Amino acid sequence: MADAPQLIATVDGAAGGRPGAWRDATRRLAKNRAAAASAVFLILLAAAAVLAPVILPYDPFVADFTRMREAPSANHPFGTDEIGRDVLTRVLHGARISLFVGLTVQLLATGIGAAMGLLAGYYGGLVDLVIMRAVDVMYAIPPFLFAVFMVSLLRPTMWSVILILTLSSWPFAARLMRAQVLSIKEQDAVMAARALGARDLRILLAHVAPNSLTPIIVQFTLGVATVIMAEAGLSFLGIGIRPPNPTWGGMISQARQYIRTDIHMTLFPALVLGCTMIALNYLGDGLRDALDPKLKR
Amino acid sequence: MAGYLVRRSLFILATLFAVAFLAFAATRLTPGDPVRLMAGDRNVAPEVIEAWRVRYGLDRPIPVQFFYYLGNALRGDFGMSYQYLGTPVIDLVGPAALITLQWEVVALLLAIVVALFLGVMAAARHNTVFDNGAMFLALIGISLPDFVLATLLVIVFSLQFDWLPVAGAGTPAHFVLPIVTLAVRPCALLSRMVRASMLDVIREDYVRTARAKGVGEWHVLHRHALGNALLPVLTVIGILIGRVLSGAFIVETIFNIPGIGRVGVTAVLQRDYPVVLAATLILAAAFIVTTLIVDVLYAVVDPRIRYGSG
Amino acid sequence: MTILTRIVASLILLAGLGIAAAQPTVLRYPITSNPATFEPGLAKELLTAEVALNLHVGLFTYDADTSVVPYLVRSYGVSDDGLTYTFELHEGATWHNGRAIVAQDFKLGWERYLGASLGAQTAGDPWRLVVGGPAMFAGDASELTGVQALGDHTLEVTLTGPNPKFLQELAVPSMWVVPSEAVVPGEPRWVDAPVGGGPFRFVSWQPGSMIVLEANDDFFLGRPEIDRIEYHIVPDASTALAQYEAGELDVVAVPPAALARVTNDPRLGAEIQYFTRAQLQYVGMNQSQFEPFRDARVRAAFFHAIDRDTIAERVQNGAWANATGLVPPHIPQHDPDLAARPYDPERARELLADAGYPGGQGFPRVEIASLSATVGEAIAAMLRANLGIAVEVIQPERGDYISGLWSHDRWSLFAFGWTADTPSASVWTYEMLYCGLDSNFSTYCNEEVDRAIDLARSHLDPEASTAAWREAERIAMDDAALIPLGYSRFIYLVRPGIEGFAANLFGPVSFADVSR
Repeated sequence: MADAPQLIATVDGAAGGRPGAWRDATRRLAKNRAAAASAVFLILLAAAAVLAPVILPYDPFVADFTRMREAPSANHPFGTDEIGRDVLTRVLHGARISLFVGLTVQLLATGIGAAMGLLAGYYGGLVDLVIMRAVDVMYAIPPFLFAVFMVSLLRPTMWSVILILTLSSWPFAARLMRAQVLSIKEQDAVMAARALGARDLRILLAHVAPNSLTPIIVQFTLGVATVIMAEAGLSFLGIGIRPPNPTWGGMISQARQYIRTDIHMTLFPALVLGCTMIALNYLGDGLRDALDPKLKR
Repeated sequence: MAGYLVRRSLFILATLFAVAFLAFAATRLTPGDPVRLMAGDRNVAPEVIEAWRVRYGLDRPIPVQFFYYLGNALRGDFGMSYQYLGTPVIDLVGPAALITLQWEVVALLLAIVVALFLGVMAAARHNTVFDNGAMFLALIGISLPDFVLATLLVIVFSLQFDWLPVAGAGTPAHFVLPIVTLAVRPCALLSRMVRASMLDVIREDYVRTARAKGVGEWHVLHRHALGNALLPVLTVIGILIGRVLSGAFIVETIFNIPGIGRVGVTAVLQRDYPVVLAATLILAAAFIVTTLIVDVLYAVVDPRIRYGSG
Repeated sequence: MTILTRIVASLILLAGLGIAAAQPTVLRYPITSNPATFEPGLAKELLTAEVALNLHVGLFTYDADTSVVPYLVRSYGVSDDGLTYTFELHEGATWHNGRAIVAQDFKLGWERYLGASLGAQTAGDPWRLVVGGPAMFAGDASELTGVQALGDHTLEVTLTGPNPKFLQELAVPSMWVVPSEAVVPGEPRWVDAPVGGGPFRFVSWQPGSMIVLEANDDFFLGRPEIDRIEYHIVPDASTALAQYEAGELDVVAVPPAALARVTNDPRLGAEIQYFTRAQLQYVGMNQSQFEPFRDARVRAAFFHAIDRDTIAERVQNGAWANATGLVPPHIPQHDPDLAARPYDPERARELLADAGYPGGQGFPRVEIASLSATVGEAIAAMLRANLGIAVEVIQPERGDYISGLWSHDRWSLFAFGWTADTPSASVWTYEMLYCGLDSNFSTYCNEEVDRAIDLARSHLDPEASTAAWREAERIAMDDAALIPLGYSRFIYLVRPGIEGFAANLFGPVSFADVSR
């Protein structure tokens, strides 16, 4: 369910494959202050999420009924929630869930989608037809309704959510990859290799794949943002990963009824969720600009 | 072009057919006897049960049932609800679909108009404060989850300042906040897209030629650049419509609007599968039809483009 | 002022009054979901019954003090042996379709309900002592012989044995009828204009959005003062509260989460109205769905592990009173001396270990279903901390939740509120615990309890009956059949200017006496 618009431009001009290109790209990225700051934020967030059980004294599942809905204080920098759990701890544990789901879904979706797109684009014909029709059908099903429907059939655990979101996300990577392959297929190097009789797989791996990396990387980053938003949406509605597991969407949903009196319960998860999304989007934009200077604005 | 359109239409019908069949099969494979579910705990006369069997082909194999379903659907009969016993599905889904159509179309139009304006202006004032500011706002618009945005809007506009209603669907005022909430993301996405597209085109030779000929700046933007910039934007609009149609569920839930998104998901949670099926089909059909419209517009705007393997 | 000025002023005043009078007075009232039906006889839960009270009419009803008062009945007599009731109905009462209400309508209406299998075995309950009732409920007869219409306005009911609670049972909406011609046989479409005889008539229903009723000009007790009722369907309680504060609703139930803020608010605090309520909030353990709950030690472990007072006082902000037993106060058979098992995590752990799950190890996966996420999370946290069992919280949609409760096959551990429709302990013992009943959501089955309940139901002497009810309750509590969490109250915000809104122990009474 990644977003189309940012990526259509990149399809036309894939760079990469040249030696030294990566070093150039990294330099360009570092010079983009917003993207660099975003990368730093994300790394810090990921580190905090991974280390959360070690560095934080509170257990995200332990309630304290004497300290319900306390405002932020020295003991609880983000305050406590409706049954006395430390909000900072829950937000960081929620980051573990969101980041894990986001990365896993994107890895799987991109992997599957790219493979499908490669096959469809390279071989064309019947393979292309079948795969692209499957993609079209997946696109036509309203994603949210699909997610809710699937959740009612499966038990909503982390892995079923990952499965559902992966099913919704792979079509996009497939289309992207296929478009890439189609444009590269006609290039001289590839045609020469074919004329010389190189095996298909070799051609795919040696020529096509490396040239397609740029949009895939960008799409991956932006896709993680979309998946995190989708997971938050599902747990906000109560049909995603269930409480008492700390999910950002679930925390925001529960805090809604206290929003007039205890806004900290909504504010902090929403802020962290929002910043994560912004950072991922800036990073994605930055990556696109760095890896594909022809498109630089 | 006519041939292209015919092929696209056929393709679209085929896709809709496939989606309908998959959804139908999925709901039929869930446990429970449809007759028992339709009757619930009421004492329904045997003649009526027999009428149901005949009308819906309930004792036939699933593929045959599907054709019965399609036939009935074309006449507006989507079956009977499992949750609200004795109520035809169309009574639950029809009014909801109309409500959703109305307010979402408004939201989309708003998003498109504002995005076009912002995108063109940002491109024209490239790298100025306006440009950077607008793009920053756009990025926030993309990043902010709609449920957070909705809650914040309600706090500010309804509770703090009492300007707008909190929830419901009675008057036009009720729709202001939901429309704004729903329009923010598509608008943000689209304005970035428009700006990028405009910037691409502005640098093109024919624009420079027009400028060199002394054509006014606004004229340049308007006639020469915008038209060509719109092509990729059109495709995106088509996709956005689809996303918006289904994603409006969260907004409909928060603002308590009885639209098709909310009806559909509530039906899933209530295991009211006939309603789920009808809602899915309506949403899928809406998406597919708008895709076709966008394709037609695309062809109209740029008939030079040839369509290959689609 | 000149005479001309006075005349003009008076005319303006009159015109203003005329306009004001011409504006229909509306009561905007929120409900959390679509009612399951508009037929009173099929009303199995509170929300549906609330709407039914305004649309329909019955022989008797409960007033705001929860006393049984005659409704359609003008006068009645009971034979000396207590077996024959003769009811004289009001003349001049009409159904919404214009036809006069006659005694035969009740015979036909009750026969229709009995002929249909209603899915709730308690529906057959009022008929257990009526001649021909059990036979018809079992499907062996097609006529309710014990009920006869002795004329247009005289109804005679004959019982097989004395039933001191018969009039109470007639006062419940599920014993009210609708005219037979208004019900399409076989495939009733409940969205078509339901016809009743109540103070308000049906105008429209937009599913998921609003139900509109208007005053019945021909209501036999006089036209209600309110012209229109709008039932706004608002699933989320805090949204409804926000709408009330914004002036979009006229009455709202205060959710526990907002209770502190509302009572402390200078404006809102003055608009709160409290009514006593007979509702038990409890945690149920479904034995047929989850095997470990068949072991009394496991149930007792859960009982001791949940800090019920904290939930009632702190988590629910004092919206609930502490629960000592199953039968709420204000019900005659409530037992003030009953001492429930205390909160005792140590004991809980011992019991769980005894049952074979030391420290929660090996305990199969279980989830708690609850309409209130906060309550569910509080209980999950307590179970995790005290028993070492990781419980997830499911917050189902209301209609799905309730149908899952009735079908017994969806929820293993659940939190629910059980309300009465008659002021009797049978609601929280017989209905919830008797072997084999559909309303026994826990599928609890204990012979001793059943025996005590049978005794209680058969006793005619109120004291002996009360003692038997209390005995049943005590056995059930010892056996940790259910875990009572609290007794809820009705806490409403009512817009200033609205008079006559009231709730008895069961819920809001009809709006016939409401004015603004």
